[in-house]
Amino acid sequence: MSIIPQLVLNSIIAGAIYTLVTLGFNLIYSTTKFFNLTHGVMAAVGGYAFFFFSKSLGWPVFLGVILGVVFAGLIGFGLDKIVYLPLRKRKASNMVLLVASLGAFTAIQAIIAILFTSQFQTLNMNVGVQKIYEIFGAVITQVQLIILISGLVIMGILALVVKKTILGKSIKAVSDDEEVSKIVGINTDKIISRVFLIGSAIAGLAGILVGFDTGIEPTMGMNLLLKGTIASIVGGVGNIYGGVLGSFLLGFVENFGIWKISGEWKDAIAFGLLIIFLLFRPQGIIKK
Amino acid sequence: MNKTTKYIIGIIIILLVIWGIYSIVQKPKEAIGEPIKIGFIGPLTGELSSIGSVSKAAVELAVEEVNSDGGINGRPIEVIYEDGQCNTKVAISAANKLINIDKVPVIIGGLCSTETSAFGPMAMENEVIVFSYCSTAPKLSELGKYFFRSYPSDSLQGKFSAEYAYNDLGARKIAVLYHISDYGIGIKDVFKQRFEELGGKILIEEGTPQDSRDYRTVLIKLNNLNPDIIFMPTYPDGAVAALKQAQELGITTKFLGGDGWDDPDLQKEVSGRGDFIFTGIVNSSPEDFKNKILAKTGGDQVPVCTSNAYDNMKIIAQVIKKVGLDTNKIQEELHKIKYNGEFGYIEFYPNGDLITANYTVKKIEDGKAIEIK
Repeated sequence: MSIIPQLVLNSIIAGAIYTLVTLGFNLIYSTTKFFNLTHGVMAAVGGYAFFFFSKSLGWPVFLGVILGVVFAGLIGFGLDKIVYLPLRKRKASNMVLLVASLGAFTAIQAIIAILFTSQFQTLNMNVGVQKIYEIFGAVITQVQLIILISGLVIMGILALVVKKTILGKSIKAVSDDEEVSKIVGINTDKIISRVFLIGSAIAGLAGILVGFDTGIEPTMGMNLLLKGTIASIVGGVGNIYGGVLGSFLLGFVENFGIWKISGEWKDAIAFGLLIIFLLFRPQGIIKK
Repeated sequence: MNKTTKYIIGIIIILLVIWGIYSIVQKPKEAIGEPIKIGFIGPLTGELSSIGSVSKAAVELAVEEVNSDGGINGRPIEVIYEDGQCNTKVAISAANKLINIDKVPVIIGGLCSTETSAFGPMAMENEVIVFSYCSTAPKLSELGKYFFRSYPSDSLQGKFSAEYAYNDLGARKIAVLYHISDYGIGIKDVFKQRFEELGGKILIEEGTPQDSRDYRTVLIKLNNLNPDIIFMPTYPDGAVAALKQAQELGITTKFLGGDGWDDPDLQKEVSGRGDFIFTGIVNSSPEDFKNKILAKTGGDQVPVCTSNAYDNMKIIAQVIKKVGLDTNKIQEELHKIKYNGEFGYIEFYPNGDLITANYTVKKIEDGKAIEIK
């Protein structure tokens, strides 16, 4: 095992995990303009849905992943319809929406803990025989490679969708100016609920993949959300590529940081990066 | 005032009246024959719940035996089980409820040092006995005269691990990865002191939060210094993640854990992934006790601390029977106790620590732990 390549790879692995969270978070934030805390718990929803279908019921892994992703997407979609849409109709401020999303976050987390207990669970089906690849003397597991590829592929698809499709153009219009979009005839409520569906589904996939890599627990959402948010702000809120860049930058700063100083500083380093960006480059790496 | 507000106020008044009548009717019941309430705190969900739930079953078993034997002077024991989740905040609110609402004289628990050190000071102020069956952090010994534990302090375990690493494993250079918690820091400090006394060298100490799940960089940092072994006093959930990542990174160094790894779930998860050993308490509970527990839980293992939880309940029942519910008298009587239980011999130092302890070393193999020393 060579040290520097492995450090680089560890940073990339961490960055890839953050990317999956950031992509969905950024999409929802740029469209709705409110800080959606429930996004974190969607990862746990996806992870536990997969756990239920594939580990408890014993259904095939592939089917479990699809069901987990769909399930997380539907929960996000449902939350928008039941909670956020009525609030928006009542012209509730973003602060109210933030508090509502905190409430939904806590409630969903508690429900998962009641249904599945808060025990740490691993998802790996093939104990001990994970495929491991070597790159320049550094190792990466199959799951981690899948995380990395999924992150990049989803980034590509999202960018394409936003650029080429009607839905994407509508999303862009809504995120630029919701009122004007309404005037030109875009059904903004429909667009926003679709954004919730897509964003939450991506978070669900993130939860499943993190589960394969380490494991799942009901409280996993908060940590992922915090890192996803930092990455998103550092990279440039609302920008697809910016979010990805921010994720990898965060991964590198964290892992190279604790190489030199003690590991207990990891979270402090992450939030330090956030504060530096907020002070000196609040628009992020790439401005929207 | 509109109609809805009137309705709501009306409902509130009705509820208050019902509650008032209910509490007046309840009052006269407090007489002889009323159960004696005892509190229990341990992780029933989350980290270490695989141990906590069996400890709870052990206390239930002890209570059944005491109650079927006539209870305490005719009064049955009723234990109120609270989930501490191995978490500071949750344990404090659990203890708050037990002390202020249920008014228990004794709390059996907590299991994690994290729990006990969180609610301990509050219990001491309220003169409530804290009788832990599993907490090991050395600094708990300073809590006060109402604190006891039937599980030995890590000041003994840390020393034993250091001596085992130096003498039996022949280790001279050690890297340490610990959880920043009362448990991890407590055992690490004692280990370090003893290991350096013996002439060994601690190459590096890395602490991580208890809920950390990404140990990759820390692990290669440790392993890069070529330690003879990596000492890892951590709680089990983090250890599962860390040991799996160590295997993925191709680290073949021997890992030495503490009794935090004496957890059936952890052993199932990491078995076969590397050379993992840990120190733990000698679990010499008699077979018939183990069988009784297994019959109750329907499980296949009797984890660490089970017999301690059972003994704690039995000792408390015996002491209350003798001196009543005054916690000052209970405390004096506990200091005098010499008890031969399912765990072994129990007698306390003035600080509430056990005077004797026997440790063993176990290796993780085939999904369980096998004694090797």
